[in-house]
Amino acid sequence: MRADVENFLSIDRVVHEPARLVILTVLAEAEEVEFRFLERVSGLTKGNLSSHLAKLEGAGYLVVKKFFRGKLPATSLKITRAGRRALKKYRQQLYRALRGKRNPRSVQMAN
Amino acid sequence: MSDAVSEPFQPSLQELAEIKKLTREYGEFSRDAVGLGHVLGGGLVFLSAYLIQRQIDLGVGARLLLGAAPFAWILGKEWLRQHYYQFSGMVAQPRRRWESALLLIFTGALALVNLAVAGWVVYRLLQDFSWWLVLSSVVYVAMLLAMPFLVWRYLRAPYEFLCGAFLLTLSTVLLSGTPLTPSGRVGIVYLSVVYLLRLPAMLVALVMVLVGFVEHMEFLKLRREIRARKEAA
Repeated sequence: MRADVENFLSIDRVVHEPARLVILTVLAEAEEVEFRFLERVSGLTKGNLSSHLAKLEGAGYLVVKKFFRGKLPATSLKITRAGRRALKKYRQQLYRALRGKRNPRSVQMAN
Repeated sequence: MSDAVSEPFQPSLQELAEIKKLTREYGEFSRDAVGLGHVLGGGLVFLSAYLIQRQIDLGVGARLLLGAAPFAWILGKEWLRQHYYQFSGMVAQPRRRWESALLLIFTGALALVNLAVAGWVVYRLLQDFSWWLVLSSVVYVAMLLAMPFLVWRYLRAPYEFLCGAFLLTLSTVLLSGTPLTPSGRVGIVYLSVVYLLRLPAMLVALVMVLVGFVEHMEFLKLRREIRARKEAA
């Protein structure tokens, strides 16, 4: 019981925020993702998305690259190794916390 | 300090799985421009193979047009990728290991064959030198040397390799004109390779057109799903 509580309390708060979890989940599926795609698929507004990205970048979980597509500026994002590790650890912690309380298959679906 | 960006945004595990699936599928279209790119390539292979089959005596204009077919395909594919299939921006996805290994083996084999043919052309040229042959052979050798790079860089999807090699080989023969010149021995050898590749290329082209059409339908469904997510938000 005590171990369960400690495990739950040690969950990475940067990853635990739902919007950031979505961002990391998308980035983990690809090598590099453009801001526009993330905006569409996450359903977040530009401002919200930028704020969450800044937090993830600050934690060292992603890198932001600015470039020009023709004459238009564009932004692409790439998950770092630390970001992948954090996401993996978060999923394991969440799985352990939910084990026995929910159908584990529902957790695996998101893995 | 409160988290100003927090909002009632609670994706379910099922929704997360859905987002992962959308990203993976979109990434594949963003990377390879399959779908209409396959249909375009398959169509060009059929057209070229049909003209060879009929042994139509091609004029300079037709030779140039047919010779430009692989480049038109590559340009068309790139345009589709950047302006149509990447409608929500680029998503770069790593290729599967077996795909990369297969591409490396095929491209390596193509490079070796082309280097051998190019070497033989240069050897023959040194033995039987004339400025007309030099002009003709420069185009021929340049195309041979560029072919592995073009295939490696632009025709990486599994179906595209054989069709790409066929179209580029045909283009090399048509643009350099070697079968019609005194260095025709080289051209005829190469032309026979074109004839050998014709049937398998046509078969792959048929599969490619069908697969491309199905994939395009899947893309339209994917686009609807992504747009629906944005509108629902």
